[in-house]
Amino acid sequence: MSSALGDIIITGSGVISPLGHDPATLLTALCAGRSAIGPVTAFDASPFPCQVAAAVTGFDPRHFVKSRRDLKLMTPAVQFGMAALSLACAQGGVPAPGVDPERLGLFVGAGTAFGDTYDLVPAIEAGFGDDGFDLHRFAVDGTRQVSPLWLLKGLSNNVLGFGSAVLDARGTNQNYCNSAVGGLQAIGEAAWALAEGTADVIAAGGADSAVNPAHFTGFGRLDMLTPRTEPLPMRPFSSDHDGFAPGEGAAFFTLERRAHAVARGASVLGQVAGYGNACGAHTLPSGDPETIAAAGQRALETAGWGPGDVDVVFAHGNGTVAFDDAEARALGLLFGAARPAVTSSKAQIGHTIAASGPLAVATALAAAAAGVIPPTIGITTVAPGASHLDLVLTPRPATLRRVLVHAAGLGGQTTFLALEFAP
Amino acid sequence: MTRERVVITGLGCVTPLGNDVATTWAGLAAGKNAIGRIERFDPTGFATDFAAEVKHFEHPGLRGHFHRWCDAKARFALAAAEEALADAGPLGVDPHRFGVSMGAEVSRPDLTDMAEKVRALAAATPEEAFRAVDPKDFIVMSAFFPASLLAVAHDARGPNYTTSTACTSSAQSIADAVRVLRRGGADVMLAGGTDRLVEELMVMGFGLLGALSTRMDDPEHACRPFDRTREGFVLGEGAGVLVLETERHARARGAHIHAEILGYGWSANAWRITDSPSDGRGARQSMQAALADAGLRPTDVDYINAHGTSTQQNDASESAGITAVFGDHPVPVSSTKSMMGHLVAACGAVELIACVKAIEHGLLPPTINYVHRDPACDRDYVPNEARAARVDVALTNAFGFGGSNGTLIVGRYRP
Repeated sequence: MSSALGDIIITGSGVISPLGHDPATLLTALCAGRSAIGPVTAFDASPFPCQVAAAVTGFDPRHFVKSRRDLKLMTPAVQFGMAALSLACAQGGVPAPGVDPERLGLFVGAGTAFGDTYDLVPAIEAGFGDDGFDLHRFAVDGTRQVSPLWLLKGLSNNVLGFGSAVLDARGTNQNYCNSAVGGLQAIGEAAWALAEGTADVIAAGGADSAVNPAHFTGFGRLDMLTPRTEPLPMRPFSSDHDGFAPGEGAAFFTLERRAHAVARGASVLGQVAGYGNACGAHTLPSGDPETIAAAGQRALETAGWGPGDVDVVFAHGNGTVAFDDAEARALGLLFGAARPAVTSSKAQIGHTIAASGPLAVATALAAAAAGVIPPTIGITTVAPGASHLDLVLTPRPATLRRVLVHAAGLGGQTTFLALEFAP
Repeated sequence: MTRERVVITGLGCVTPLGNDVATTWAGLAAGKNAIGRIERFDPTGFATDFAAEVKHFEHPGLRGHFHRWCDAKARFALAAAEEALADAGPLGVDPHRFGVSMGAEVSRPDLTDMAEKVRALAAATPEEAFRAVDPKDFIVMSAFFPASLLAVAHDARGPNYTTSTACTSSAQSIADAVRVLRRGGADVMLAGGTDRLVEELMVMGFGLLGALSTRMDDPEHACRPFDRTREGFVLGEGAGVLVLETERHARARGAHIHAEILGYGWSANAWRITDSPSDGRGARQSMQAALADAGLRPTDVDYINAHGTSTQQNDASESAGITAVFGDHPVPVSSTKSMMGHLVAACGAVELIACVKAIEHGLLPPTINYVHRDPACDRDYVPNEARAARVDVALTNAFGFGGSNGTLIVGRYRP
């Protein structure tokens, strides 16, 4: 059976990750067992139950954003997104000569712009007097302390807004703020938009940063972060898994119908063959195995695959007991007797939230090209709930034809993307 | 590709004009104004002191585990969804074939609450400050949470989306639901948007941008889309939720069908994040894409519910876009924002509901406060009073910060 999506392919892949700023560098580091997770340096993490993170290093946004005025409005997540978008488009040759700007689209999975409320502390202080906080005093004196453009910095669709202007991408577009699944949804929905014929080329991906006090507070209060400080603190599918390390980054891709790509001489990195979504919010904030398996089944169906066709699953593997257990059980339900290889890179690049699915897609494309599955590192002994999985513990040479990528969100969302590679 | 037809079988909303569809529509039909001085907090000293508030609204939230997990935007969405589902009748749908697609943005903290925390935290140790944060807040305030809550409340385990493209959010979230249904990815979708805007930080933020009307001596006439003396938009709030399903599913269960969604169109201005090119090219392109998707000609459209925010720039640009698409076709255009303000992430959903009611009642809601003709806005804006007219096809626009544009076309259902 062939894909219900037709023949949608990826022609460009751009990455900003804690382990490098291109997909091949990222894959090499993953296979070398390097981890970017280390002590937090961006802020004082001592009040938080987690002291580690996977930060992007060696990144200068001015290489990717020419306007200084625009740059001032961009949070780190938006800067990473603009950079990965630019890198993907450079590889894909987009905007391509002859492609109508109205047929060029942009789909984004974005994180939550929390940082802007921290910018208000001086204004709030100005609202205090001897009699406590006074709203009128805030309105008159506090407002003066706030940048006139404050609200714009907090827009959740800034990669889309700035990115579409830079690319002159006037066509179809979307911005999903959907926790960790938004990035995969952006790629999957972009593939459907191409199949529906509403665009000729679409750039799609996700960007996020959880390396800031707001995310440390949020995930920390939900008891989702690892308290370990020793090397390799984050241990997906290990019996001693106890949470994740926040990460940051972005990955974007250029997608188009194969005939369109071939006609303009673009290279083919892989095919988006299938896509499935579901929501198991009733078990929130844990995952629901049956709903996760249903989303995976939907991806297999749209790809025209059976469970035995899958070579490897790039799992969500966020290293929390609840999610790892739910995901492992879901993969058991989905695959039954078939046992595809399973891997997760989060022990090395942390949890990059809305960027995590797209970064796994970029890793999968690089892995297929290199003929190797990167490992899941940090496992001391495999968690009892994951003993039925064929976890890849060391780099494994393999010919990859069919790959599933999974992401799961805080609101019960679960999304799978199916990637196919020519023999 | 096979393409299922998509119909509307349930409507629900909470708006400044009323906390259900019937009251909201009665207000729109009567040309009633819902804009006035802000009552929720004392707005003295802010850049503007009026808005369109949702009033007399109460919703108990969800029972059980999620009882305390419902902030204002979630409660608006829960109420609108309950009304829409009651209207739709028993769905008889497989939970895995039932999805949700909402337009929403992240919630802002309550300013007074935040101020108390800032002061308390200054006196606390950093660890105490951390412990003082309510664990559920991180999830509840997220943009995606209304869609998650609707999934929990109504056992919708299918595809679940949250679109955040500012004022275009729900026009796009509804179109995504249409796309999923057309391709067979679900049988029923709850689709719409929710937003809560009449709060101190939003009045401050939009005020700092100079986007809001400051006609403080005459707030009830402040929102005057397409009028030459317009000078800014007026914040509104609320939610709109629709039950969308495949025609096949709706007919199999004998549902009453309000209307059919015939087409959608999306475009990007690719310009600047706060304004649009004056030739209205993004608006033009979005409307053309929707017409092409619906397989309709411009002359097939009987009514346009405009984005019509009452800013100088939007209304001129949108009018130019309408003229570029519709030329001499004298299609009536009105902005219901003149009565209920700008519901931002919810406006696309509520204005689509207005279009459905216009079809059902044969009545065009007016643009109120329209007095001075603007040479840059030279369409028929249905000034000041509702107009009886047969409507078979209606089109609604939404344009947002960030430059995303969305158009939806809805039509009288014909089997």
